[in-house]
This record gives sequence, structure tokens and C-alpha cells, in this order.
Amino acid sequence: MKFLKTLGVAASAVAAVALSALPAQAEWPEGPITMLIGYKAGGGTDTKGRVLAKELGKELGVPVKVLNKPGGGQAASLNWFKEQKPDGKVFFFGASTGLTLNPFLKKDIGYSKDDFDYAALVTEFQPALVAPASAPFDDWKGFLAHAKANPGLKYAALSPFARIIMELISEKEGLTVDYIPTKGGAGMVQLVLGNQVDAAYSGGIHSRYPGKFKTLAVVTSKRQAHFADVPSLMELGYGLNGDAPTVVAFPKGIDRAIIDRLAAAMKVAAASKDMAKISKKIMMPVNFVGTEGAVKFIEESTAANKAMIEASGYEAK
Amino acid sequence: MPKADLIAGVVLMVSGLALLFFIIPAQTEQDTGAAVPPDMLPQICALGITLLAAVLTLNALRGKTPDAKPPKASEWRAMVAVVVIILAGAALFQYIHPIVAGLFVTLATMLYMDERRWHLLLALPAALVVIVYLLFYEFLGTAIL
Amino acid sequence: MMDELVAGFGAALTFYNVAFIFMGVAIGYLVGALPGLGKGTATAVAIPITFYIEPLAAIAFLIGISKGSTAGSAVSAILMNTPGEPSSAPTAMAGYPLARAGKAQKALKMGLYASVIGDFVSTCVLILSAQSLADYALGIGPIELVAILAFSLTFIAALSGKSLVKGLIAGLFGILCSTVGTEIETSTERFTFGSFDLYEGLPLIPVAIGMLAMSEMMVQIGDRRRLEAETDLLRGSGKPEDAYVTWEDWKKSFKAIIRGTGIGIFIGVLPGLGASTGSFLSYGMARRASKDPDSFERDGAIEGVAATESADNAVVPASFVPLFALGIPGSVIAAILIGAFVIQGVTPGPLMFLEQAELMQGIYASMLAASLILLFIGYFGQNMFARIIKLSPSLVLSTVVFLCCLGSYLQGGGMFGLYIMAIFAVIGFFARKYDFGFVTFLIGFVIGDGFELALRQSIGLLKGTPEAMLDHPVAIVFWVLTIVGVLAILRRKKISTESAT
Repeated sequence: MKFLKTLGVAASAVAAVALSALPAQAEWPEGPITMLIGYKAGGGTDTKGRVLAKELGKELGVPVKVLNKPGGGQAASLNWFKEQKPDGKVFFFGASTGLTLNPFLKKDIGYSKDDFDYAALVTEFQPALVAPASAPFDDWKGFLAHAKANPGLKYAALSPFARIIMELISEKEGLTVDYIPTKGGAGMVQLVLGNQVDAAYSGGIHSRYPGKFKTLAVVTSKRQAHFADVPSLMELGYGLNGDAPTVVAFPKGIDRAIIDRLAAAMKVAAASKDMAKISKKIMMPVNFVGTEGAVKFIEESTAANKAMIEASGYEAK
Repeated sequence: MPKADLIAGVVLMVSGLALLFFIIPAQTEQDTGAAVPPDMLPQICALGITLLAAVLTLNALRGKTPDAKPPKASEWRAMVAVVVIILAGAALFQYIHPIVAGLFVTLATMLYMDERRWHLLLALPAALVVIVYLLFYEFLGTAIL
Repeated sequence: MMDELVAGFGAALTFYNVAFIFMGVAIGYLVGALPGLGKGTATAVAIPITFYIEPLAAIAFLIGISKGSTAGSAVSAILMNTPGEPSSAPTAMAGYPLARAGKAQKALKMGLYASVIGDFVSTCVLILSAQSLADYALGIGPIELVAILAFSLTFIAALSGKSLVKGLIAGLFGILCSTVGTEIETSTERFTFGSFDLYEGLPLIPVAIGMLAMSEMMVQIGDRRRLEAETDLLRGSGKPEDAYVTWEDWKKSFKAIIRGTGIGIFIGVLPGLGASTGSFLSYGMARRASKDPDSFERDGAIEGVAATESADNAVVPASFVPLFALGIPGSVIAAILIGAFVIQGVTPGPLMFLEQAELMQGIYASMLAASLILLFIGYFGQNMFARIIKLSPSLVLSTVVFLCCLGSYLQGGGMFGLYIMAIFAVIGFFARKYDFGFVTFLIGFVIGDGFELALRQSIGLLKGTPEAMLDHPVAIVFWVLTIVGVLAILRRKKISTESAT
């Protein structure tokens, strides 16, 4: 019986393909929708995305599946996403840096922020510059003094952005830094906890290790709730920030009604109890911003990043 | 003279040279100022493959190595058949439906292996598709397509 | 400690939880036993179910799946020469010849016993010393990792079989394939040919399925007259001693199991080295310890199966050491489990023991229980699987082809994984037929990536102060072992060529 049913599904799917050319926009969503995530399953964005998908499913009354397409700092997923029909069957959930920063870092990245329509911002990353607990300094000033006295400081950089930030700082302060490449947050934690490096860029994972890290400066433009006494790089006068909320996007040309429906559901899902629990656990605060605010942020962030990369003299590869 | 090794050695040597002089320069960045240039490890591998392939060819010419048995005609046919089945399955997957593709891959392999018992030809592909459907959609409650 | 564990047993061993552990091990064993599907697939696809069950039951269920599938992948390796994942490849090398000689039952049983022993001992080590081992593992930095990986790479030569030249070519090709994708230090692409799918590198599972399972299917389908004759043999020789693990077998395998368990624990505790490194190392050492190493792949070797399976299974619990103590995954399974833990409101890492002490004891108790359940399910499950291969080859092989396609689709990012699988199936076909040895290829492919990154990090860390190398005694020891290994191989090869002429 099951098989007959499956065949029935097959037949109706063929019919659906044939019919999909016709405009049919009754009540979104009509069936299961897909949340696209540009990172591997198990990471911070993925974890939040999965909880959000579950809550969103309750709110929309249809299952929300998660699809992981890792690669190229979300470039693999965004290039695939760009080609999708703007019919509301799939939406993107990921770090805004993929849209507002990476196109300046990589030549021929294949997409730009203008290929998409934006629905909302949901949570914030909490990046910071950190040092091992055993470091002979406690704050930013101490770090600078130590770095000047000891040229050849080892700094773990998990992304090109992590490297650019330190390059700009060392240029301004006259430091000599050796960059140790590392893969992902886990790789960075290993190097710092093993006292292999003097300082590192953390995407926020360090807050899960109380007593093991010293937080020198936060990379968000405002101070972070968990580290209220740690200054931001903006405050310190470097004019640098890595503000990176998670953004919800559709392929360009989506029906405005779908954006509104998803943004409304997303707002409820973001405020759910499970979401609060998870964002406390992984310390990525929920900060829901609606459609207008999201569009505005994408524009501003793109302009700011463009200026920053130009100032750094970084050559896109 | 071990003919199979000779063919393998020459093919690998040519591929190694192509890697060294064309593919690696085109597909990697060279001078980036990094401690280890991105193309260093690939170059080492390609150089090693080329030199070792040359050794393989020389040994084969001198008849020193135990020869490999090259594929038989039936194995060639099977290799091509399996690739064709996979590619046809991929086409069915994208243009018709995943379930059709799943049924096709199993059925075509059975037919190629001279399975002619019609009840098995019907039962096995259907059973596999149903089991996969039940496992993922009913039991695990997840979507895989 | 003991009291807490006993209390943990009480909490863990409710009917509800044991039922989930049982189900997890059973599902895992079944999925693992399917050719081309292994622990990664089994655990990843099971995570969504755990959304809806209690935290302890959910985690115990996933751990059951991971243990079951790790042990189960020996079944397809031995019976069909198609390992579920790269770490079981050596099991196929030493076990499939045994099955062809009518000793399938014996090989399967030894594989299971070795799995359970490796798993159980490793679990005990995890429970007794997670924290202290984790602190030790942190001392193993990039400089040590380079040395350990270089040591592992010497096994390429040792495992290269008939021709050292061909083995090295395959190994270098494996390393070359591991460089595909974004390079970490400069974030430039290598060999992506404009495809964004390749940014993350060649996906491991489809490459392994193509190289190991699918290429074997091509050879078997193309040679089916011989295959049909051999299927009779696979049904068993009829001699009772070939269906059981005899005292002789135990004597042969005992050392291999102890060594394998030790290697598995060592590799598992170190973040950044996978299960494959552990099982290849263990197999290579068992082979080297043997009087007649070349007989391993020719006639099969029960101690080869024991060495691989004990190491493969010991890696899994040991890789939870850095996960539980530091929040750093030591294996693919551990990385997948992080997501599952977080969904259950548990953040793996140093805080876990403080915030969730009771749950942790429950997890430990469940892990021990899962070991015992594995023995039970494996023992009875094997009879079922041994019956399956008595079916006609056309049914078995077409099922395997279907599952290979499914597995690479699921684990390789959709159709892209399928195409990669097909390409490497053809490469594997030629590698098999021209004696290039796909195992050396896989070692190179699996280790190459981590080796290059650790090398880059080491160069950065030692920059300006090369004498700092002296502060890394572990690294020095492994470099010496590497050099000794290389010299030994060169000498052995020289002797064998001299005696040949």
C-alpha cells in the first residue's frame, strides 16, 4: 500500500512540475519549506537554525527542513541559492558577512548582496580578540605593551577577516605579528588552550570557556553583555567592527506578502522559549530586526566593509 | 614485457607533466607571501608522481616488475555499464523524479546481471525505495530530498 | 566517583532509556552493515528524531547508533569487500580473503569481539580520566601533530603491497586530492575549476564509497561467472572450526587487539586525527609484527581484522574525551554529536560536568550499557547478514549499487556527491586492475589535509626560533620513529629485490 502511495506521490510530483509554470500563489506556505544553511551541520549557525526551524514549523503549520550546503564561507550555498526560483520554497539563514563582506575579499565570488531580498535579522555573533588565561597581560593596553616589547607575536587567524583586523591594528601600532592559520572555532580553541599562540580572533566560542580566556577587545561596534567591561575596537579608536547578525533572505523577486509572512513567523519563533535557551547556551543573543531594518543594515554594513577593506589595501583573491 | 605497467606508467607520466606545467599553475595561486605557497604541496605530489611513473615505465621496459592483469573485456563493459546507469539515474532524478531514479538504478543493475525472474525484478527495487522512504520519512521524520 | 557512577546507572538503566540504547545500537548496526553507509551517515540522519525525546535517552540513543554503526561496518567489509567507511578499509583487506576461503563466520565474530573489547576499554578510559587526558591532549600542538602524521604516512609504503612505486604513486595522488578546495592560510582556491561545490574540498564519503565500494561492484559485476561460483564458497566451508573463533585465533589476535585498542585511544584523544588514522596505524603495525606480512591481503588474516576493528571502535569513546572535557570534537561523530547535545540544552565543554553532573553520569552508564548490548545485537545480527549473502549476486549487487548512490547523495551535498562517487569509482576500478592499491590512496587523502595545516602552523610557530623544536620531545620521538620506519622499509625492499634476482 505504501508503495502505491509512493507511486501516487511520484505521479503527482510530475504533475506538479508541469503545473508549476502557472502562477499559483494562494496561501504561502502550501507545503514544506527549506531553510538553507551555508555551514556544516553541528556549528553555531546550524544549531540555532535547527531550533529556529522547529519553532518556525509550529508557527507556519508546515515542516521546515534544514539543508546544509557548506563551502567557501557560505559562497557555495549563496551561489546555489541565487539560482533558485523566488517561490518561497527555500530561504537562507546565515551570517551577514557572507553578503556584506566576503564579496570584497574574494574575486569572482559569483553573487552580490543585490541578488537577494531580505526579510529579517535574528541573532548576533559576539566576536572578540582573545588571549590565553596564562598570558602575561590582562587587557588591551597590556597586550599592546607586551606585543611591542616582543615582536613576532603569534596570532591565530581563523578567517581572512580575522587576519585583516590584526593587520590593520599592527600597521597602526607598529607591531610585528606572525599569523598562525587555523580551521574554525574549535581549531582556535585548541591553539589557545594549549598555549600555542599569544592571541587569537574568536567568533564568540570563547565565552563557553570561563577562566580559560582573557577577552582583550570586542569586535562588535557596541560592548557585549557578557563582557561589559571590555572595550570595543571602535571605542579604542581603530574604526573597525565585525558586526555580523544572522540574516534571513530570499532569492530576488520574491512576493512581498511571503516576506511579511515569514518575518512575522520568524519574530514569534525568535522569541520562543527554546530559542532563548539555546542562545544563552551558545551565547549568541537574539536581536530580532524586521524587514526594513534588515535591508538598511545590509546596505550600511556593505558600505562600511568596503571602506574598511579598501583602507587595508587587501587585494581580493 | 609487462604491457599493463608500461601503459600505466606512460599515462601517469603524461598526467604528471600536465599537472606540473598546466593544471597546477592554472588552478592554484603561486606567490601569495604565505610561509608555504598554496601550490607547494600539489607541486611536490605532481613531481613525485611524474618521477615514480618514469621509474615504473623503465622497470616495465626492462621487464623487471610483476605485471598486473589489465581489465578483461567483460569488466570493461561492466565499468561502462555502471557509469551509464549512474548517469542515467542522475538524469531521471533531476528531470523526472527521485523515486523513478531509485527504481531505475536497481532495476537496470539487475537486468545487466541477467536477472530475469520478473517477480524479483519488481519486488527488489520497490522494496528498497519503500524501505528508504519508511526509514527517513516515517521513522526518522526527516526529509532527504 | 564510583558512587556517582552507580547512581548514574540507576538513572540510566530505566526501561525507557535501555529501550532507546537498544534501538540505537540495532539501527546503527544495521546501517553500518549496509555497504557504503557508515557511522557518519547513521548518526547524522538520526539527530532529528532526538528532538522529541528526553535528553538522556536522546544522547544514549545517538551514542548507541555511533557504536553500533562503527562495529557494523565490518560486516559489509568482510562479506562484500565494500567497507561502510574508510576506517574499515583494512578490515576488508584482511577479512574478505577469509570470507572467500569459507571463513566468513569466523572473521565476522572476531571483528565483533575486537570491536566490543576496543569499545569497552576505551569507554572505561574515558570515564576514569577524561579531564586529565584532555589536559594532556592540549599539549599536543601542531608541531607534534606534524610528527605523528608523518609517522602515519610512512605506512603508505608499508601497506603498498606488491609494488612500492605504485603504492607511493597512489599515496601521492591521495595527498594531491586532499589539497582540492580552499587553502586555509591564504584562503585561495585550489583545483576548484570554478565549481563552488569544491570549495570545501572533495567530500570524503563519496570519494570513499566510489573508491572502495563502487569500484569493487564494477569488478564483481564484470566477473559474475566467477562470482557465482564463489558465492557458494561464501556460504561457508562446512567445517565447524571455520565458523567460530578458535583458541588459536585468539592467541594470534590477542596482541593485535591490545595494540589496536591502545592506538585507537591515543588517536581518538587527539583532536584532529580521525578514526581512519587509528585503524590504518593499527593494521599497519599488526602487519609489520607478522612473520608473513604479504599474506594479509593474499590469504586474509584474522589478526588484521582484529587489529582494525579494535582500533576503529576504540577511537569513538576516546574522541569524546576532548569533546566532554574541552568541547573540541575528536572525530566526525563527536562533531555531529555537538549539535545534538546543544539541542538538548547541554553545551559540550568544561561546564558540562559542573552544570549537568547527573546527566554526565547517566551518559557514562549508558555508554557502558551500549557496549554490552552491542555484543548481543552483533552476535545475533551477524547470522541474519550471513544469510543475506547467500542470495544470488544479482540481488545483492544491485542493492549495493542503489545504496552507494543513496549514501553519496546524502553525504556529498546532493547530486554533486553522486558525480564525485562515479568519478572515483572509475579511478578505483583502474587502481584495482593495475594493482595501485586504493588503501594507500585513502591514507594520503585522509591525512593530507590535516598534515598540510599542521605543517603551516608549525612553520609559523617555529618562525624565528627553530631551537624551540627542542621543547617538543613528543615530536622528536615521532620523527625518530618515522626515520627508523623509512630505513626499515628501504632495507626490506632491498632485501626482497636482491632475493628476487
